Amino acid sequence: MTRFTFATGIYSSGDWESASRLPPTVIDVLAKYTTLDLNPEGVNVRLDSNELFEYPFVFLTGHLPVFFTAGERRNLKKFVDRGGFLFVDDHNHDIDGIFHHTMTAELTRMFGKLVNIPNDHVLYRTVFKYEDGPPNTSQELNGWGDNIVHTHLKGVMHDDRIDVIYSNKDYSSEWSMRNQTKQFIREDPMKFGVNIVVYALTR
Amino acid sequence: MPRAWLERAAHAVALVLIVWLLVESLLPPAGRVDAADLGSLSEALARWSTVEAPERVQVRVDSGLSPTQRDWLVALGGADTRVGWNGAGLLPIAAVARPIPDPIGATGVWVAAPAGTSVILSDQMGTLDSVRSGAAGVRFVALSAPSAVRVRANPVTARSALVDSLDLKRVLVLGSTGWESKFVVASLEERGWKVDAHLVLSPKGDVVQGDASPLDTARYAAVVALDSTALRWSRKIVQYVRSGGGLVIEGALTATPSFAPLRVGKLGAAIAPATPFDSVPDEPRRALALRPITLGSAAVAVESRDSLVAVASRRVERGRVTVVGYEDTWRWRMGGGDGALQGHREWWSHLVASVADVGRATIEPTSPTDEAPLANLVDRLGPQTPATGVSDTRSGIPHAWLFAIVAALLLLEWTSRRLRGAP
Repeated sequence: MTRFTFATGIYSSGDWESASRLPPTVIDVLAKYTTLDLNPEGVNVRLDSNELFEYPFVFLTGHLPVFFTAGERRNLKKFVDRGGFLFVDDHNHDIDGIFHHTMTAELTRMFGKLVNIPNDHVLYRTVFKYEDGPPNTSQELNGWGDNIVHTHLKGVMHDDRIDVIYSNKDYSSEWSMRNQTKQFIREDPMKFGVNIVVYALTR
Repeated sequence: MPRAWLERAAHAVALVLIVWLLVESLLPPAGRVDAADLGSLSEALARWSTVEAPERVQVRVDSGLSPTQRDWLVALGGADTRVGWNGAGLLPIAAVARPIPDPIGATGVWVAAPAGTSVILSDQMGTLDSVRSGAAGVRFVALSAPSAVRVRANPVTARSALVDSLDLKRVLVLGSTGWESKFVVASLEERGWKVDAHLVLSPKGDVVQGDASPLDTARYAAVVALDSTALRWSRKIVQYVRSGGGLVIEGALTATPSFAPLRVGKLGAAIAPATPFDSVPDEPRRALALRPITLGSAAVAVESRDSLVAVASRRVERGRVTVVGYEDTWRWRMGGGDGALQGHREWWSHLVASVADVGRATIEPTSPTDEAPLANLVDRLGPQTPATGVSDTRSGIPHAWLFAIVAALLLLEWTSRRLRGAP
């Protein structure tokens, strides 16, 4: 049986590696809450390579403008069509930010208009229950970025199934700093990461 | 003087002919043998059944009788007419159409025909497919799900129609949370199966899709057990199969003592993929790792790679078990060529369908059937009979002509006598 490997997507523009501390924390929390067979180390995979199809879960993040190459677009479209799962997080937490504008334009170009994921979607109860939709981050609550608490995640869906999650909540910062902040936070913010990964592995 | 003799001769001949016609009309028609070929058979059948009743008929069958013609000949045989047939070019073919237990609703058509025969499949709308028969015959899958089909192998046409419809139950997938379980569930659902799943995640809870219903044949058509986490249900699974359920099981799992009653064979060591994806598009599963299966008794190979058995199957009491030697088939769906997505769906659906316990409801065929024309002909009319000794009385002088000759002779005699003034 194949181990779950947390894969971060490498794209040719922007700063794909901006949340390099996030994969180890996600792997750590998956090991804590589940019995998933885990690869203890994440991988970085080029979006325009065939290697992409060996990792059906791919995480994308960044602050800077994103312009995919034709090869990256072709591979990402095929990746999602085949059942791969894409989790994209805006590291700026800013709906007027350049990452948001360029990444959503790219996703819309490939998959059509992003929609709000309903806050009662099974994503929010796959493992841990979130009655009010996506958990807020300390970046949102502290007024960083666009000073907006985003009530919904966006995504690409077919029927009721999510193919792509797009987040403005800056989980990249929240989860990357878990080791520094966990003693001050009552609820482990990483639990929602477990939900996302388990959802990707089961739906 | 010679003229008088001629008149007497004409009179005598006319009398002889009248007597001959009288005698023939009074004698029973014993010994009459009639013959026809397919071109004249319809007209001959009507004649034999109404104005004539020959003792024996011989039909030359070059391209197969229609069921109506065959049944008519059988009826003639029941009315004391001996029916024989002969035909050199008739091919022994047979065809049967049955619904495939697949949510897309396809019709499977199995054809037995001599190797090398060109076989054409058609339905009411026209030709569907054609192929040359192999040593084991031909199997068509008609995605348009026709309720009746014709299979033509010149010069014979076999006809078959569905006689039952299927009630597909749900499929249960058991395994650990991972890519294989995710993509097997996805492919089956995308194919149209209704899937429940119980995927092991942690000691505190699992991911459950669908109802947590009891594992029995009333609810599930088949169970797919993907890894060792299914061991916790082993006793129930064995019981389920014995009572008629279908099981698709990952190879290593069958090596465990709990699944010993369902064992299909021994599993070998894992072999690396034979080729990369896309290098052999027609054989995409060559790019999967394989644990080859050494068949046990009562097991049959379903799929092989080179000389190694990759998928095997056997009956277990009322149920059926199929063992899959391939590992991580999800890699084919994600990394394969253009047809990989569809191929993965079809392959998994076919595996499930091959073991599925489906309900069947009888339906009336929508058209007449003749699934094995030559065999039916032999069954209904007996084996071929040689055409020797057949003489068609209709080739002699017809009675109308004889009557005309008699009338002409008598008119000639009367005219001659009047012209010479004789009384």
